Amino acid sequence: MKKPASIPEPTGRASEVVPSAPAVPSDRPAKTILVVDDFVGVRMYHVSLLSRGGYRCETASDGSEALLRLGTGGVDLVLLDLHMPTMAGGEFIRRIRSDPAHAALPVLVITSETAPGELRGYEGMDSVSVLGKPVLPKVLLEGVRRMIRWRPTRHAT
Amino acid sequence: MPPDGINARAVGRAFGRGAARLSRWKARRKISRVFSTMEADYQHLLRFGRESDRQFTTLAEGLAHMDAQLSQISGKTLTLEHSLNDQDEDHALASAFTHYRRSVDLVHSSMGLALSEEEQMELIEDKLLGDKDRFVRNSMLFKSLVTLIRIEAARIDSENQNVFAHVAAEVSDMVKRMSEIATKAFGNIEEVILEGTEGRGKLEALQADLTVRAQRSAESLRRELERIRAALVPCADRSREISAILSETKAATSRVATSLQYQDIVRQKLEHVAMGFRDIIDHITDLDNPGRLKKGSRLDLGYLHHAIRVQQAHIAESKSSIAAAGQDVTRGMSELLEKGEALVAEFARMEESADAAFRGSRMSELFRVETNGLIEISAQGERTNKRVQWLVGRVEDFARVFTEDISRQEFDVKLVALNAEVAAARLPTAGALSRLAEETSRLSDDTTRITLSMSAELNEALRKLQGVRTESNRTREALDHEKAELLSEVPGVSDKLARLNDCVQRHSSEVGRDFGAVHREIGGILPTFNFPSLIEECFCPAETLCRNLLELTSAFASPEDLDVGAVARLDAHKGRYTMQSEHAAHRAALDLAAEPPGSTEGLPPDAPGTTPAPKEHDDANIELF
Repeated sequence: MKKPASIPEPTGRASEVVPSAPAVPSDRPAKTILVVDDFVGVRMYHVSLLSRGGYRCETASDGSEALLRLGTGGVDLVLLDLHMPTMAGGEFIRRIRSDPAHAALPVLVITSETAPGELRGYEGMDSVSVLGKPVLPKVLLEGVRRMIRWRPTRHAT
Repeated sequence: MPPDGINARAVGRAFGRGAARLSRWKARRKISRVFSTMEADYQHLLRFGRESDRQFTTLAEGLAHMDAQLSQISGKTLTLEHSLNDQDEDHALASAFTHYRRSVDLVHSSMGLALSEEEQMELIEDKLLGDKDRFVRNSMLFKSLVTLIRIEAARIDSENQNVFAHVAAEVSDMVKRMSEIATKAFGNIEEVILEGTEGRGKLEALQADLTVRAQRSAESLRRELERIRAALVPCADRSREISAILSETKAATSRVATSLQYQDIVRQKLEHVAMGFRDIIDHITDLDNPGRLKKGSRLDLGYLHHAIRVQQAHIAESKSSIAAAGQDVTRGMSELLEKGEALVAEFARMEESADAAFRGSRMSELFRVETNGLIEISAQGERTNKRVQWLVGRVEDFARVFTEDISRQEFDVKLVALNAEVAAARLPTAGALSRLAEETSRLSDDTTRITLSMSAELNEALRKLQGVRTESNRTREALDHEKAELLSEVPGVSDKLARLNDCVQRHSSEVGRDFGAVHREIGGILPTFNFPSLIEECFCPAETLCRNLLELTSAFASPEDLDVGAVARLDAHKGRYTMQSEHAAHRAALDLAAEPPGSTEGLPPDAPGTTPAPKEHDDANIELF
């Protein structure tokens, strides 16, 4: 049936109501984020938030588990805690930076460590950004979007 | 010519023997005269043994006590060092840092979860309000349609007007019913949304405040923990320094203890030298009292000369050894005192550092308050979570009732549209009415479509919200578990911090005080140690005696004057380390001199305590040594 010009088409904002509205255009595959944290509640919260932001998430509870996961490929960003058993975040970053395959992988460090001495080593490091906990969800999502958009300048892969 | 066939050679030999006897007699007489001092002289040697024994025993006891004390202090210092480096079993600082980080993690995830749920709720609210707008627009279209129908109906004859009036009334009635349903449903939803919005306004302010509080709380906790950790570094440095010096004192103590062992050796030597002198005195005393001596015994001055030289050598060696040992002891003790001074200073510095680290510190209390504060902030997230879930539940209820009610109107809408079409068909000339009937039908289709679409979208949104809620619940469960654990751990970690505070302050002052006592003890021992004067006082008379005896017997020192047995015994004396063997040799010689020849028959010639019988003086039976 032909629509008369006098009757307007009902409009809605269906795309906004989808809780997991993708942050990237739907024709592109979702970016994969590896969430690394030993605190299960934090892992679950980050996964929930990022999934609703349109990202694919995988998890690891420490650095060594994360390294194993990285070995299988397909990770676009690592959301990393610093203080973890077995292998802490700092060691994880050193390891991946020494591996040409992951040298330019963006890492968003999210940590409760705010001591300047502890964080100094990460400041100015290529493809590493640091956020201090507690951080608002929108700030975290914005940080993730910024890091995902980041392109290496020196370690092009 | 000599009378009675006695030739000159025989006379000469007799004269020579007589001269020799005279010379020995004179020497013995002189020796007898020095006997009066010999008794006192050897007593001096024995006194040295006793006195040095007393002094060294006092020293050794003091040293042993000091060593035990130092070991205890060392143990306490090690315990303290472990605490300072957070290596004790409590690991108080590490536990506190871990707890602090987990508390921050809890706040981060709990508040983040609540905020993200709020965002989801906001999206649903937007959707609901959008649906309401769509519905209102549709209702307005229906109302316009009713007006148009009524205008068109006025243009036709009165018989047919009723048909259109009826259609218009039906449409109007339907619109009214739908409006009522929508007004009621959206009114309820708006009420909930308004409630949520007001709550959200407060929540945003509260969460902004809580975030600041959480960050401030975490920061103050971290600062205090960092401050304590940094303040303990100098304490740990001092403690390491103390441990190093304590190790050095062990070496000094060990050197003193080794030197002390010389005293025992020297004391034994001196006892044997004194016993040697005693034997000589006894023998000479016996010679002066012939009734007490076996017939034919005499003093062998040549052997006596060489034996005294052996004694003299041992006395000299003993003196040198004991003087060196005394010096070592004095040096070692002085070194201990010097190190003690350094330690006293280090202990004082460590106590100061510990005091500075914990002076007025409410670390344990602060930790308890701040971590509880952080956990309480995380509980706010939990409350938000519950509130959002309650609001979502209410919206779900209203939305469900609305979609059910609207669905029930679907049939009426279609019926009205059909009636309008039927009415228009009766009047084929009423083109306008026919178009209106078509429009009514289209609107009814649109209404149905919108209603269905709204229901579907709303249900989808609510289904996703349900998913979010289920996911949130799972996360919340994990957070609740973590929160319960953290709460239960707060007193334990707080106690650990209090113990660390207490341990560092108490031990640092305790080890300093303990060491101060030991140091004073060492300082008190050293002045009682008067070896140089004691050595001079006790050794000089014996040395003088030896010199006098050697001088008196120097005429008999020629090796030709010694028989083979005496030479062998002397060689044995020289080759022995302690005076025990010398004393045994003396004793054997004295016994041999007193016993008839051949009494050692059946024993091997080199058996201990035996002396081969002199070959050249068998007939004389005067062997002394």
